[in-house]
Amino acid sequence: MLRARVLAALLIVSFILYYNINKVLGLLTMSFSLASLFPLLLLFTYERLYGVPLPSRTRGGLALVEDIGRRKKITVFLKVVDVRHGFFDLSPIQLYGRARYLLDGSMLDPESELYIIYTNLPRGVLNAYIALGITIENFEDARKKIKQIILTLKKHLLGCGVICSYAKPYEISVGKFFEKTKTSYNLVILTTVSLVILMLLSSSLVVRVIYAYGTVLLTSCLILKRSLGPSFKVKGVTLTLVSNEALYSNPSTLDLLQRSRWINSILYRLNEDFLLVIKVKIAPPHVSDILERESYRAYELGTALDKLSIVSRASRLYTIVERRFRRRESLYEVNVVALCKSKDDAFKLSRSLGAIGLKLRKPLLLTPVLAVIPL
Amino acid sequence: MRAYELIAKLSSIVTPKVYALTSDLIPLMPISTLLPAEAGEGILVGYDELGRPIYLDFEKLPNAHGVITGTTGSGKSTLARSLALSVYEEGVRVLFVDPHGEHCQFVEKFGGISLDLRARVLDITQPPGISPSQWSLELSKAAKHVLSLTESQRAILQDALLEAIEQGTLERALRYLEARRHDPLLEELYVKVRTLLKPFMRPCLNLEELLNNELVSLVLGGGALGLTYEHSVFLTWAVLAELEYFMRSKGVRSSLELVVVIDEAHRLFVLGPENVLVRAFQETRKFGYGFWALNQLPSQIPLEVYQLVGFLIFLPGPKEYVDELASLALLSEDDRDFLLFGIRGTGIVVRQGDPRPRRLRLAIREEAIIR
Repeated sequence: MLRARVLAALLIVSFILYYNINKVLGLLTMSFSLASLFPLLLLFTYERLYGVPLPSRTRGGLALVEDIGRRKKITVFLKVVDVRHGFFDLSPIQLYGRARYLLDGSMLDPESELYIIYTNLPRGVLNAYIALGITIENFEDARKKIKQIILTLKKHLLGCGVICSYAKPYEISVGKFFEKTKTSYNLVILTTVSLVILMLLSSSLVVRVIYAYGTVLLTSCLILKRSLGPSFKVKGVTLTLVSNEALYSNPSTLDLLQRSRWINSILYRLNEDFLLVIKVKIAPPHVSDILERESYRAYELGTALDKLSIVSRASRLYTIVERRFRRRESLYEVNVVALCKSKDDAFKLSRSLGAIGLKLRKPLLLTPVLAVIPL
Repeated sequence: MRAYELIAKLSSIVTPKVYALTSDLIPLMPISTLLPAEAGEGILVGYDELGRPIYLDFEKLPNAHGVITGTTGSGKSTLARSLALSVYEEGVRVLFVDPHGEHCQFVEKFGGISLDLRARVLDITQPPGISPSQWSLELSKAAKHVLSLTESQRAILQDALLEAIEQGTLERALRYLEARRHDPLLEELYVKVRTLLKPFMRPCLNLEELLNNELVSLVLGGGALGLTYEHSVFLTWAVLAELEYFMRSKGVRSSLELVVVIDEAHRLFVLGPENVLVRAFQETRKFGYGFWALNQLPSQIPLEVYQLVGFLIFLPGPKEYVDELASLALLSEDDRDFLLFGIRGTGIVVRQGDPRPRRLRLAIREEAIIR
């Protein structure tokens, strides 16, 4: 996010340089920033013209296999059949203990990726799936490894009172949220016309640079289309997690029980189809060190300058440090993606998750967001 | 798919990295969000707080026995009729043991037989497919509990009843005891038994014939012209014992064939854990029938029964009643409040194999309501 902002700022500066200070320097800066922004603009244009490309993953029996460089990521799926206990009968402290054990214990290794997936069926039935992604180097005996991962996860979940059955990746019906886009030849004509105009164009350099940039974008989209294969339009609204305000507060177990009730209430009351994917990964160790350092630095700066806003920010950051070390909570990297058929449901879901501190927004680019869905 | 990986990686710079601590994610865990799963088959009992239908599935329950508790006026009988109608429509025969005759109108409305045992006398000298000695033992046990007899008095009564059964008339039993009246202990026995057996002297009804009917209501107590409390309890015992032996004689059944609804079940429960109803709860699962006992106070029900029944339905009531229930079942604070503040037509159901109580708006069928 920060890099994108820097690039945008660079683009503005380049315009100012070009018109006011030094045209050569301005053009150089502009070329650099446009080149850096190119992938983002290319993808943005591509998504608007053709739709969203989806990853191609191999579905092998009970697992999903994905190439990550030389390694392979295996994702196994379990369907939650029932929960023996839950927010409806457990005391706040019991719920906290069990849910915490469920989450922390599901991470079979530090690089595991845990997915919690909720989707609804007609007649108010809520389906939940738990998926675990493990990256392996050696793909030999993969079947044995998959079996081992599933059994370990299933046993752990049973210990938490979550009864699961084996599930296949394609059991989770996501097809209803995507519509395959048709190939259009209008873009080919438009690109050709643009190229001809570009050759005949005789205006200022900046206009020609920008026009050329646009033409290159269109041409790149055409090339990309051939490499990416089919693309899809999302039917409905896509939301993604942009920030977590809950991080800066210290919730009591009663708060957590109350939040669970909210989420339960909203998930069972959404009217139309939805898919909610929560991806959880253990954050790298340096993240908590950075947060701690930032907290101390903000405090020192705030007290030195006598600025309450900075001291207050330090205090918020220190809450994370305290929770991390006093309450021994684990720090996770989280992605949340919600696909809702109706705008109304998307609004309700976004408000409910917002109430527990998880802020969802419509993303500008859908490709990185949809890549989170393990399907 | 190299191109996809490349653009996904490049575009990830605009995707913010969001961090969360364990507690932030607890409300999203399945244990925090999911409600207990529902099977969706069987007979409808009601709707839970989310409007999901809740069923009693006798195929999945370990047995078809049940207990419905609720204070007077809470709607036990209406609920029992509603559930009975649902199983009746599934082809299961239903028998109401009805001390007050309140189910007769309902039974007759659906073409069933309503039989007033105050007017027509049941022949208790006919052993239901068992030996006379076994039947005399059964009847003597019933008399022992109803009349508070000693074990030696019961043994003598058993002999008297054996003679009566063999001869086919109850007068033989009284004559047997009268001949031994010189003993003060037997004098007391004679007086008590004579009073008890008096209404059964001229029998005109064989229960076995009745049990083949689809829907039956047996009225066996109450009213100014009716049987006394002791007679009613003795008769209920005899009917249930006869029923037990009748069903046993038909052999083991895998499906539910008969449901016996016992209103005012406390009359039997208070007789102690050896009574015929507790025995029925324990031993009759495999013979294709289930007992539904309707009772007001949870404390009157022997503890064994709570462990044996396939389902329990608690209707709202006052604090003391709810406190008793909470000590017997896994009721949370919310469940207690639900029963304390609950209105008529609501209740809690607990099914064996799924100990999580479900708070319900009961689905009472219109036909079950008697106005």
